[in-house]
Amino acid sequence: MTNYLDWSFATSRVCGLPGKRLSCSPTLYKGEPNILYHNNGDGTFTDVSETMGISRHTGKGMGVAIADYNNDGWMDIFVANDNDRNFLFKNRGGRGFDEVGVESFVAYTDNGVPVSSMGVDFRDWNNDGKPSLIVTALGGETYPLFRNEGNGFFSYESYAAGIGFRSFKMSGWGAGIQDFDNDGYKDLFTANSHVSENADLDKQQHYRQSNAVFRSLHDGTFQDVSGDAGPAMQIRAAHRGCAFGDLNNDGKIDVVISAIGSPAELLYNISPSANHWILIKTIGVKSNHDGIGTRIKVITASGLVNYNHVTTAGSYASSNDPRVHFGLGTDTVIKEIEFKWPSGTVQVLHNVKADQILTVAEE
Amino acid sequence: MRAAFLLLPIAVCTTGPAFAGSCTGAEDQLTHQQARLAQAKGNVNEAAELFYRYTDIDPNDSRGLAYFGRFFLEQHDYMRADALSAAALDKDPDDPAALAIRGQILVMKEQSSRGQALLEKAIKLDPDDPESQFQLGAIYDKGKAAPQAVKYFRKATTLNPRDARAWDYLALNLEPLGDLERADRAYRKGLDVNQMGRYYDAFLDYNYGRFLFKRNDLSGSKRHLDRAVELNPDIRAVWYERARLDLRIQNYQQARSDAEKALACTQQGGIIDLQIYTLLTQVYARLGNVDLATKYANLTRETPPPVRGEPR
Repeated sequence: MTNYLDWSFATSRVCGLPGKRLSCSPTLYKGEPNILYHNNGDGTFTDVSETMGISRHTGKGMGVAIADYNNDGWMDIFVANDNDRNFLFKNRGGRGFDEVGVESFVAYTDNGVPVSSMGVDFRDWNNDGKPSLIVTALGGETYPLFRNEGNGFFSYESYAAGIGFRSFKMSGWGAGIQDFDNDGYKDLFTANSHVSENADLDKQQHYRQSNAVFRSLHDGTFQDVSGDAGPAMQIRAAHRGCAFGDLNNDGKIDVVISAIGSPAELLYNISPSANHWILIKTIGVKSNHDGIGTRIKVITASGLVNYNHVTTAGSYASSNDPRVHFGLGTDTVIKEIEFKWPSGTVQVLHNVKADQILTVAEE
Repeated sequence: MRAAFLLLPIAVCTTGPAFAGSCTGAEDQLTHQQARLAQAKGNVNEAAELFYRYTDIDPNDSRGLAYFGRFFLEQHDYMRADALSAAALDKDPDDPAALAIRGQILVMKEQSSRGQALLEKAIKLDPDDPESQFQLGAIYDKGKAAPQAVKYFRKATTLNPRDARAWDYLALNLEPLGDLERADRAYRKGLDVNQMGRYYDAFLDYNYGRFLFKRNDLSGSKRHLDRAVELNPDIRAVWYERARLDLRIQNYQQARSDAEKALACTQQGGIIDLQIYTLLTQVYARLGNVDLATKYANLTRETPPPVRGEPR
């Protein structure tokens, strides 16, 4: 659980000008440590933040996402900190966490300064089997996109991947790395809005913003297709969290977005794609019941290889569908699905039909 | 990087040079024109001599005082520029040249709203003065109001296509608007006319190199950042930017060299130590030098990020 900063009415600061009160920068306040609760398996939790090395790091946490970035079988934790260096908690084999954000090059952007990190998702967006990161930030900063090199390092690729200039004017909160057109390549989604409700006093800023979707061009780059993604994507609101899942079980990822001062938005994905898909529900036996942390590799009949993992974490103030979605392109058959469960069990299925919701129990 | 002339502090002057004499006519106009010509040619001593002579001949000519003030401003003699601009405006509050130079000086003295008002009046009276257009654009640039800044810089470049600074600022303000092709053209036009003199811009190559880096034209970026390093070897920002590019193109030894030079530079140019430590952490980690990578990682952790006191 991320914590933000030490604010109270007593310590509250006043910022802006008379008639133009604005949110104060978080750098004016002390940060707070995050909390890690261990599930005791009986409906109770134990706070293990101190023993696991989480609480000794004080930041200004906004978003949190979980993935096994170094492929050692243990889930690691990324915390997006607002105007402070981001944290990457590397799992020390279940015995604790080391904070390696600086050493992994995700603490700051490639310009060596923090941004207003808000939401985050931690998934493989270039089909190389290594979970990478997207982080949302405020206008004028661009959304950091960190590619996992697989050697313990990440490289900052916002501009190389084509979202740098496009996201410069956006302010974002929730974020997702999801395959919206089922072509087998994950796209990017961000829920957008400025932080200050009177941001429009500055002609360059807009409080209410439309959301954004960046389509994967299959080569590690993305194209902003928000303008062509339908009228629902043009709604300007004070968007904040967004959660992803297949709400109507049609194999296409839908989005639910919260907004301040206006109703939540439910975006049904009605893309006219004929591509195929599979949705996988995991049931752990030796592992945790929901199979959280299970890494799944899919190889289609035509050889397209795709990776994802079971997690509900990510985005901002939201929780996603625990089922794992894969777009399969034109393939109707999956040659192989490999499951690496948190228990260490490796399970493989062969020749699985596409376009179904598959429930898989750990062997 | 914005050119340094907008950032230099200026001392407040209470007394100005003495002016004497009272004679008007063709001679003073000729002297005035000769002074401006000498100024344009970069003949500083000759221009100063002629300006002095002119103000001796006609000490009440606001235009002459204004141009003399601009001359001193370009020589970085801010106290005299301040005094002369004040005197010029005092002589004629409706003289566009006096309004323009006084507006510029007031902005430099951080009296932005007064300065802006004078520049707006100057433009209203003389919309064809490129310098006023440029200076007003610079105010909007400082306020991060890119659309307005673009409007004035575009006008400035139209009126004076030889002003490399205006092309640079136009490009810098087109960037955040996402108008990348026009920004690219503006940078290139600026580079085409970037000659030593009044409109010279030492950071055009730096800014264009950064732009090309973001556009993934890495070889083009390198060409311009190499040039930026040649032109501004004492400025940290140029070494830093080239080190970032070196890192991106996996030339780690060169990245190390450039980043270490950046760290040694005394003129920061907007680049703080934290940025260099972060960069050196990456460079030494890529080079496999664990000790130095750890040293700079520790420095990165120990160095607090900049405090942003301003609201957002």
